[in-house]
Amino acid sequence: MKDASDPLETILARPDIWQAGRVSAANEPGHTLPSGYPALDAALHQGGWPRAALTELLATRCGIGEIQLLAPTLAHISRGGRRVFLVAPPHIPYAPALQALELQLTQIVVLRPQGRSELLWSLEQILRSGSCGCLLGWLEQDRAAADYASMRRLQIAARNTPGPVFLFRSPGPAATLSPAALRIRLEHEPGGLRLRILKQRGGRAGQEVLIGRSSRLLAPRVLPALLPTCVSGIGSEFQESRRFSATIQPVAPSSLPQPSMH
Amino acid sequence: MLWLCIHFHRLPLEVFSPARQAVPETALAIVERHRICAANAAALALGVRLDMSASSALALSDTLKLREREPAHEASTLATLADWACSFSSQVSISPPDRLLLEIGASLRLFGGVASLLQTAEAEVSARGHNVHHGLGPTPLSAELFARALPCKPSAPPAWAIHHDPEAFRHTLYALPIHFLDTPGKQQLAMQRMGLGRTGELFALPSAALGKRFGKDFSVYLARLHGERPDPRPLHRPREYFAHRVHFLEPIADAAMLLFPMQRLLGDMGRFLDRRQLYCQRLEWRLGMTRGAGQTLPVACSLQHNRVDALLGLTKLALEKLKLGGSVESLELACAESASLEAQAGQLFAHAQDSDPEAERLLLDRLRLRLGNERVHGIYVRDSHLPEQAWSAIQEPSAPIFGSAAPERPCWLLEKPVGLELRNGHPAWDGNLTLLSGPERIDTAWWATPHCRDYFIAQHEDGSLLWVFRERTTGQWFAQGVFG
Repeated sequence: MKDASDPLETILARPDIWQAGRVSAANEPGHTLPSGYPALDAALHQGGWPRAALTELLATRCGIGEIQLLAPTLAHISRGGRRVFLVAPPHIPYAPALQALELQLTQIVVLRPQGRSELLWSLEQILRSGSCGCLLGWLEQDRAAADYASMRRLQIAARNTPGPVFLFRSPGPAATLSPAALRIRLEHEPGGLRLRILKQRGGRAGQEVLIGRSSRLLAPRVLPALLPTCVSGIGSEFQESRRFSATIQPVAPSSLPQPSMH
Repeated sequence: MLWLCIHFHRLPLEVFSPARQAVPETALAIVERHRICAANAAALALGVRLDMSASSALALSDTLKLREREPAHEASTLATLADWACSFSSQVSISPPDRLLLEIGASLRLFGGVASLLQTAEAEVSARGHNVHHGLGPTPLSAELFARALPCKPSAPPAWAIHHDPEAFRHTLYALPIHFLDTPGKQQLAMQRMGLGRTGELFALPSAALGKRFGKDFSVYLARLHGERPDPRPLHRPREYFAHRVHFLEPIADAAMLLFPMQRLLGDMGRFLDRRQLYCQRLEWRLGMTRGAGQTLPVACSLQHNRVDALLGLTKLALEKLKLGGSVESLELACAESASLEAQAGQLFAHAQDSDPEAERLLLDRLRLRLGNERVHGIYVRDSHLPEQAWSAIQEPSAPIFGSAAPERPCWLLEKPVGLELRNGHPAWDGNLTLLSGPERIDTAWWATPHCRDYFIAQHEDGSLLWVFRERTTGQWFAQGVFG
């Protein structure tokens, strides 16, 4: 309880006294969004992804589980009727997989800007409009796009955004300065994805969190005998097909090797 | 008062061939209730007669085309013509099914007399591919009667109309045979039995007696024909669309200098649409160039109100992409599509986190304008076994019909499957791949290009998970997706 007569409280209430722990209004609980991973939420000192601020995700390459990391957040936002913008994604966002991750496909907008100026312009427009539920941007394709000045511009524009903003960058600039509120390095680890928090505004950095990949993906389900590693020559084709039919699925006659194939 | 009746006596035919027919004309006849109600010259030459039954007309020739009459089409054509007629008179009324009535007495000075007005009207109407009969009279009914009975040539309008001579008009009217009157056949027969032959003889009879014999409606008709009773007609209102043009005294070569007149035109359009409770969905800028063809600049807008600043912002974006091919001489703004405004109550305490549909629409409009429609899209699930066909990009997001019951699918699909090399019998892609699970066999499209693939989830040596397949017919390996 605050006591108005407490001299310390009176001093702290002065507008010209700034407390390092109280960065801005963005520190309040309503200004974060749970990530869906309790371990990660615990490591983030605000208890979730920051809204209205940039989050940088530094990853060497795609395919290490970065979408799986964001999937609970994206599903929550899109199901809530808010737009999710994917700006300059590295590949085609594959609709059946996103639907399986429980994203609302109608809320997803994919943008493919060409070149640096269009990319930065699109990001800024989306952030400024204030009508974006979540923004995922990939900057790594164009290294020059992510200089400090443009990141700062985006950070200011992001203040209008109600949702979290994730920018994917290559880990090259990890040592450089960035105005982003949260910087996380994503690294592959056997069995999962290792998150190392490089910076969080108003909090301590350096935490590490391991997020396991979906067991459906990693569990080895190939019978070694079925692996077509021995298929160097065409001659083994017949044998291999017979083994398929014996162990996994009944093979339609049409898929059996035809004489004409050889 | 001087009324002009324009009688589109071939309207049922003309709605089917609005432009001038090429020679030779195809024989065309219009059928209403299994009877021929109109036929063109070629059909008449074949022996088709009005009121003939459709089957006997068809028996005459196999080249004859019969069409069912389309009253709705005729009505809309007539309404369009009424819009056109508004350039001749402020009082235009439609007299269904095929006549327009114009009060031209007030327009004579503007057009320089009856004859020149009629000639202008005739020229314009025939340019639109219509054949008409003109009738002039001091009352609407008399104009209609004359259009039917004594259609005047535009080059030679009746002398009484030119000299405003009511006595001469009466003389002409009284000389008309009685069967031209717009009365039922039974009454016509009764009048003939009374020994009446000319209209004048009818007017000589006391109107009370006529009313007793032929009904009150008939005496009202006669009084209106003669101008003794008022004959109010509903006025036609021109259809409402916006197209304004400004001409520049000095041609403009710099696109940025167009913004000021554009803002003014947008303001005009906003007021025009606001008065009509409409909002603009697509507007079109037409730039008239000093040399060469004009340029058109369409701007799509999904905002649901006419905000000049938002429209101007979208126009600016469109202008940035436009290359002016020369100097602009004139600028026209047309509201190409509009929709009626649905009043929405604003929120007094709008929460900052509530998404604002207006802002969202404006954002998408801006992105589409700058990046191009094909670079801003939603995604959609399609029903296909072939992975590259199981999705599509769509412009307007709509909920997918198909659920995904598929096994593991990657979040990222490569634009095209990438061929993998074989290293010691193992597939490799910039590093070794380890197959984790599979195979999932997809054997489809046997009716087109057959695809028989065994899909595996593979792990790259740097840890990323890939979706690879082996084409069974060739034994070749491909990577098709990345598990993000």
